[in-house]
Amino acid sequence: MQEDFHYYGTYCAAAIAGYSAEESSDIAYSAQLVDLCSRAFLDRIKGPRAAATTQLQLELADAVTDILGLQDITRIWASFHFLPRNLYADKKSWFKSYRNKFRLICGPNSELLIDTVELARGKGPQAIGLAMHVLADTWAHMYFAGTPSLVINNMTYPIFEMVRQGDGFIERPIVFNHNARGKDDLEKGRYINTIYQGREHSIMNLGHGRAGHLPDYSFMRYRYLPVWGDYEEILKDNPSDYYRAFSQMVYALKCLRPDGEGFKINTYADHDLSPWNEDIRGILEKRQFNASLDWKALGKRIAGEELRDFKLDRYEAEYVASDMDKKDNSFLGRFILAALAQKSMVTNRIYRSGNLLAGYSINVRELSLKRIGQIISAIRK
Amino acid sequence: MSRMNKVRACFFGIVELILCAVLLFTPDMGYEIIDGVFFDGYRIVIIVLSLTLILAGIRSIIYYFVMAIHMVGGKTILYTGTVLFDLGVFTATMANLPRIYIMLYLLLWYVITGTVDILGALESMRMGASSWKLKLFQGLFNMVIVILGIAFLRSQNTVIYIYALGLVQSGLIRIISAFRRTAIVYIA
Repeated sequence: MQEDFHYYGTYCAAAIAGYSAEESSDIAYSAQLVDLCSRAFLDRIKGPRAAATTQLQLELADAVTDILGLQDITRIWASFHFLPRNLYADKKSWFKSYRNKFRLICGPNSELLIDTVELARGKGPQAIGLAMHVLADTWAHMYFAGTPSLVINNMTYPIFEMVRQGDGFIERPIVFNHNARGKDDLEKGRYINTIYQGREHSIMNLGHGRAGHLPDYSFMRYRYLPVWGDYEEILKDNPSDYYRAFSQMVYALKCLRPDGEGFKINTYADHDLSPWNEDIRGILEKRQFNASLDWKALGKRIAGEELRDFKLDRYEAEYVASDMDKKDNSFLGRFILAALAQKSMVTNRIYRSGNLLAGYSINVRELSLKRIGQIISAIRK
Repeated sequence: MSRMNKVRACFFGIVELILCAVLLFTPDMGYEIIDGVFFDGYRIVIIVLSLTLILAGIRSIIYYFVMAIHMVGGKTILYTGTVLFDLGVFTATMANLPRIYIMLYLLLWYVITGTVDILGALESMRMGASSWKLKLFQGLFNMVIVILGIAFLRSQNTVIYIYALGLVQSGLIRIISAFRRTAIVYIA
């Protein structure tokens, strides 16, 4: 998913769920920040590096893929972008190393999603926005794992794109190109993906890199054989999945309001979307690289106020200028606390399932650690 | 390329340059590494090549049984491992043959890698990837080495120098590739 859905789409969802325009803006900002809070950003604001929620292209290119490096990568990508669907999934295998990777495959409506949403309860818009990012990605990144793995994330070819023609669809094989500086060609069906690397832990085999940006486009429909799926074909219907994601976001956001009920999986807020149904489906189906303008216009109609464009440095000065004891209460301080809590929770769940792919963990919640300083010193210990 | 892979690429590049030095400076001399058994430049190259292939084969076969057995298309990894292992064992048996056969065998390797490089470069070019020029250069260079090697086959020392030139080129390209920036598709 991209800025269009994470920022402008989340703004629309929050407004439909009954948040004010200002609250919705803060939630949307935090949702988008998850894709930008890298170590480079944290270094710039002198924040804790452990709170990184993403890795930039250059950070990934330079990532070490030894055991500790892989655990670091997995902690970030599994916690924020590829939330595992079932940490105890049954898979016949002689070796635990395969089972552990299989269990990190991302998918919606997991127990971990309940924990993610409930973790944000009462913690302000930063934690809520972060949880919405994780929730939305469970739909977009379904069937891929947030750890480098050839046997899970590789793609088998050909992959067929279903392109709407008249009332039906035609199928055409997708041509992949490995030039990362190039651009996807929606007309000709030529897309960029990462190059094949036969090494299990190559960074090229992280997440949906081998499928390029197909999961990121809301209009995309395609069918393929996932390498982990025992020769069962998958039809990935992004417009439908993105609609489910949006509807579930509205439901989760309603749950997180002060008077909201407990979050349940497989529950949606389709009824609340009915006044905007055609608009939302129209945006999701439109073949375009970036739907930001459409979402922005819809957001203005729903919330009554236009959402400002995203700027990464919007809250930087506030955080940098704050005294050490007041940083936790700044906008970015609260986001950092939410990120540390989420990473700790997911890593802890993975660790407790007997899977060391994300490493050992401390449970921030159980240890009642509430300040950034406390958490960092506990991690160091 | 990750740091570990850069180190690995540099390591193999340096090994190739060392092999080149061994060939250039000891083509006719014998080293008595084990009592009574003499190793010359040819045989050292053959042994290193053989060990590399055998280890790569074993690694692929283990990887297949531990992980890739569950993967759609995973059998290619088993086949690759078996072929590499078999080639490694076959290469080891070459050590006792006359030098001219060893040289022909080593040149055959250049034909294989050269062909793979050229095909890979053409595919990359078709796909619009930026790395095709270097690959094509490498493939064509390997083919030139083969042609020169066959042309001077009767002069053993000349063939050694030509083969060593190929090793220098391959070693340097490995080291250069290790320091090139690899672009990857950003996932978010």
